[in-house]
Amino acid sequence: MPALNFTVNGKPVSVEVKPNEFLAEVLRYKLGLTGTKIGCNEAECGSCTVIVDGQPVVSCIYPALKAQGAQIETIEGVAAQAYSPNPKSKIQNQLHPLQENFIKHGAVQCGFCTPGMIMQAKALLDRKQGEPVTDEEIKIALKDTYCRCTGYVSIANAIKSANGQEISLADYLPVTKHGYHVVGEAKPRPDAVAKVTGAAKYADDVVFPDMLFGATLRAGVPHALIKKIDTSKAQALPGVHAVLTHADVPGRKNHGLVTIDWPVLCACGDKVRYVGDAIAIVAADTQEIAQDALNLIEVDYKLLPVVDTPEFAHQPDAPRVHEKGNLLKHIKVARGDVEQGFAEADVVLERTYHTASTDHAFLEPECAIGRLTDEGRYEIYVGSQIAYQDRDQVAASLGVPKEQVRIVGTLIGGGFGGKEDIMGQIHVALLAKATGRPVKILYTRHESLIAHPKRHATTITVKLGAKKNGRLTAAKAELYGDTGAYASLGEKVLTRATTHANGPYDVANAKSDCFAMYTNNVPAGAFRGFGVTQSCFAVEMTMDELAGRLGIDPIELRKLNSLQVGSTTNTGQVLLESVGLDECLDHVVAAMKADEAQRIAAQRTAAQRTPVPGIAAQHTAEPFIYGQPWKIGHKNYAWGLAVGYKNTGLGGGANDCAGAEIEVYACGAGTAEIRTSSAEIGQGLPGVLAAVVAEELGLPFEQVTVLLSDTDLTPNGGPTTASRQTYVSGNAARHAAMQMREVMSRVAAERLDVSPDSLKFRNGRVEHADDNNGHSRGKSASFAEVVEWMQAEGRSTKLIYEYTAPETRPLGQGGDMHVAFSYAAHAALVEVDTETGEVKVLKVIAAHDIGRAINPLALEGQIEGGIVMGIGNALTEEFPHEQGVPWAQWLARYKMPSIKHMPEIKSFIVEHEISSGPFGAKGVGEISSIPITPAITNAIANAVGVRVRRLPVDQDTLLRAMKNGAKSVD
Amino acid sequence: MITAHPGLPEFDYIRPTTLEEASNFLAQHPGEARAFIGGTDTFVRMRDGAWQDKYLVDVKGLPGMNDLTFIPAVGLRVGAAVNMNRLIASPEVKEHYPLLAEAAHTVASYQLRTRATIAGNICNASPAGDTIGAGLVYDAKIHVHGVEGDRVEALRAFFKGPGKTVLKPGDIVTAVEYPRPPQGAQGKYIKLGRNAIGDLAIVGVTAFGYPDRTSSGYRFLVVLASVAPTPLLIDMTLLSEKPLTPELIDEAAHVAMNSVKPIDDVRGSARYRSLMVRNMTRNALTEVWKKLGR
Repeated sequence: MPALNFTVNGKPVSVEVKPNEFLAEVLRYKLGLTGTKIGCNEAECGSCTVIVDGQPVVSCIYPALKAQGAQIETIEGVAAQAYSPNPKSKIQNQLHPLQENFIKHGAVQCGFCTPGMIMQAKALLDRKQGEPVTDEEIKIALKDTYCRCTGYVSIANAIKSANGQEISLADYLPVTKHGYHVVGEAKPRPDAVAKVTGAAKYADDVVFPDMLFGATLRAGVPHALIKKIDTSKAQALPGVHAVLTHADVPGRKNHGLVTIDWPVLCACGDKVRYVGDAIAIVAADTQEIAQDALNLIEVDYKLLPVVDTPEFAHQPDAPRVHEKGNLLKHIKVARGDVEQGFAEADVVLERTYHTASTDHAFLEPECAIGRLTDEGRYEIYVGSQIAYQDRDQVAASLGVPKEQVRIVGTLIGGGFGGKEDIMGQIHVALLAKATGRPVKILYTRHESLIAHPKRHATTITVKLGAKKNGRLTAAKAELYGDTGAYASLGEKVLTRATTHANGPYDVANAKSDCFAMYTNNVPAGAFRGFGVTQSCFAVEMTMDELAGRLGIDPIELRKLNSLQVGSTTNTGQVLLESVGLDECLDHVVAAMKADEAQRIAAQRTAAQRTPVPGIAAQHTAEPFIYGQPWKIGHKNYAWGLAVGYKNTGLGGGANDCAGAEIEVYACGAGTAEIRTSSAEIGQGLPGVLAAVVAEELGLPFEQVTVLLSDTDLTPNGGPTTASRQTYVSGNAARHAAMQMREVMSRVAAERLDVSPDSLKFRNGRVEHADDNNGHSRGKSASFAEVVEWMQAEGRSTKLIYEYTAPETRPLGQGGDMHVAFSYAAHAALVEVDTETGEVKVLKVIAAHDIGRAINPLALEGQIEGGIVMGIGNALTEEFPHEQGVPWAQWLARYKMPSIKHMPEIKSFIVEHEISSGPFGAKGVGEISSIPITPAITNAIANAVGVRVRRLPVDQDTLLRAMKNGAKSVD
Repeated sequence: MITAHPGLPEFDYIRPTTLEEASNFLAQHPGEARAFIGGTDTFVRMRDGAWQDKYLVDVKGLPGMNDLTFIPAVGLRVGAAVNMNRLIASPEVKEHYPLLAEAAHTVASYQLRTRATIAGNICNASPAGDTIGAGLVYDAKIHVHGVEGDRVEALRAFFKGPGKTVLKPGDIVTAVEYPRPPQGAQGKYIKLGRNAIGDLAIVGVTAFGYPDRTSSGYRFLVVLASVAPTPLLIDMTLLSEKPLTPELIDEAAHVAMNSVKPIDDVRGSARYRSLMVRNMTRNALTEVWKKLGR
């Protein structure tokens, strides 16, 4: 092997490399510099950006030998001095300004894109040499360096701040309530330093001695009978240690989160149901040998007719995907008498919509490592959204007790619902068992795209009836959902789509039917919004059109029917508190008006200088009439608006609980650690839990650490789904902290000789407070002292709290189906090019009722990221299948929003607290991504008069409709 | 049916020290060896399994490949290994060949432009090649080193089809030379992508005009990309024959539209592409006309 001699982060390095090795691989796997990430291996995502001789390059396609003699800078070399992973070291002072500002501005979420993003930004600032950097320059530099979490706003702010163009958080963070010490304050993420320095470990960054590499043989055909599987040639290949098929699965042959219908490995004589079905798995000395072995496995198929759409799947004579038939579930929602309601209506409108299958495109492809411990237990290292369910599923298929399996959660490079199902977890356990050695399976981007569940493509027919005065009398919806080859969370997702299909409105008569259908497409499961993204689009598009029919302002129509405290939902739930929908709407409308007034004033001034035909004339009326377009050249502009709601928590009768363990320590000034298995997928859970605990124990935020996602070390926090973690795990952490405070109070009260009730926990101390003015009477102890007293008395310094959310009722039984709902109103200003049909989102105004802001910095990140993901859902993202074969088999074929799509975002927070939430908080993870799609499509309709009822908006068909005078794209 | 992702095949990385050595090696391994410079497309295509060469010959370090020279009397010579970011930043390019800088700026991402080259963009012979239009209107010449020595090919006669050029085994492009553009020349490159489904241009229009002793006082050229098997150069004679008016520009845009027969594919319908050729051509020509001091 040739030697590569080069300089990495200032140190000379010599390493043997093969000609077909790339710089990213050499840095990661030979030099252990795992801060450089590989997101796609096709030069598309930018995660692997490093600086070579002063120039940024994507290292995944940079042949290592080209770097002969070169100077390489990676994320590990950006901080001024070697980084120490000890969070208490004074490392903050040594961070590069970019690293500091990424942390400060919340530009770090899941952290997987962060190293590449910082390297790319560093190259930009190095070029600028202190000169001010413009937004345009940032957009040019960062185009095609993708981030899926932040929406790019915070990244751009961080870069400018790092360049000395200081942007204050107060300038753009929305106003939120204060009143507590830590809760409600903008705090940097606890894991941020590790993420900006490259020290953060994701699954593929973990290495064991003697580790083998696994690979999975995929069916490649969407529907077929397996006639033969011959693995003999693969077995014989030198370097191959195991080739396993269906017969080698000792326990449960299928996996699944709700419905156990997904084969761990497909059996000979049985069927494959989608292209990503796993046929065989291999473990070998190297990834290359494992791939070669896959090519030697012979499989014969008898191809079967493909079921390609849910409507076709529902035909009586359609081929059966599963023996039980193609219907996974018929979901029904009913309130009142919908036919009577339509009879009472003055106007009835029925419309059909189509939404596309889309991919999460989290930047970290799936990776899992399985190993057997000396005690014979299985350890699985994986970035998963549901640690305990992974454990149970691995144990079931291995045929061992649950206690024999430990899931060790690594950091997760984005999830968005796409890392809830089993991918490699069972496979690595089987291979570890077969070989007795640790085995890693890392998916290629291609494999990730064709294997994991997507967002459900749906066909939704919405029918609304209203009186002339705008009061809705009836709402009906029929949904067909494509859940693909296996159920995944299809039943739950489509239940949510159905229950939300009548919109956030109080309608006396409502009925929805949904047919969740199996097809031979890639399975569909959880994806941020969980079905509500789809039904919100259908309802909110119809509402604008209905308003037009009624001659009522669409905003008024929504306010006439919106859910209020005291309203009843379509599932029969009476809302007793925390319904901030109208206030959200008011904020957005006021901000739209202000923006419009500003624009018109500016245009008038401009028009006086150089008259532009049409513009001045159009706006002689009162500023801002919702829906009124304007024109500049061949571009039309208009605002569009939509509202939405989304449940917090599992609901529907599920036992929604989370456990949290708290332990207090006397080290330093005293610290606490909070532990739960809940997953951090970029949303900011550690910051929320730390804030909640710090608040209850009166500790500084920095003195609380968080341990997540380990089934041996952390209690079950339940799945990270349904916008539930702030609420459910947040409550568990809060109650654990409150119980610990009680224990500490009793101990301290005895020592200080005061009543426990008179003690206050604040500023890292336990103080005897004066009843009248709240000042300390002098009797006090440090937090650490109290912990020492506990230890001296032999008391336990840790405890576990099991929190169970208030009981909910299953769909169809009335009563409370959910513990809380979050609400939002989004408005989008779009530009439609009437020559090309291209659509741009220029501005978004968003207001969210999330109960209470625990950490406004993380909250704003969830909102901006959700909005930009929603822009993708509306305009760019599509995962089409043709006869079961996906088109986007490479990232180059899947277009997610880049920094070029980033709009100006104005965000408002509405805090209608829910009494059962921690400090009144509800979820935000999904609602931020929901109304944005119909806000955009309503804006397009306002701008050019074409209602696009099929997602994503296609410029070709939109233009054709505009030219033909068609009123819609169906 | 989809095939498993093949991954990267084994290959040898060859780094010759002279052009002769490189040419001879390439000529001795036809179909097995490929010259590359930045590798921005090469390695992606190899991972996809589209290209399966056994030898990759890195010609970036060869003599003269990194030279970027402007001689006022002759023109611009861009060594084959000069990356696009360097080209874009060059003051001479900005001043005398702004169209080239503009087109190069639309290529991929900043990181890829650190390595991507004009020569590579040309040798890929993609119908969508962003910088090819500028090369065609500037009437660029391709300097080639082959087994039989050096020769010069005209870019206008360089392409044989998608991915196909006049290059033979052993040929290495060493530089692209751009003659000095006519006095007062102006250009515009408009690239239309699609909101959804990937990032490739579905129509690219390069318009170029300069003052000349014609009835209109100008001469115009247009290159269309992504709508024909190779980038298509169209002589806009009608814009020389009578005084320029918006109507005449419309007519020229129609000529452009009628000179291509795009196909339906997943990125856009034929009808849409035709329409976009017309609209983009009209916009690009109008822009150039404006710059010419209309």
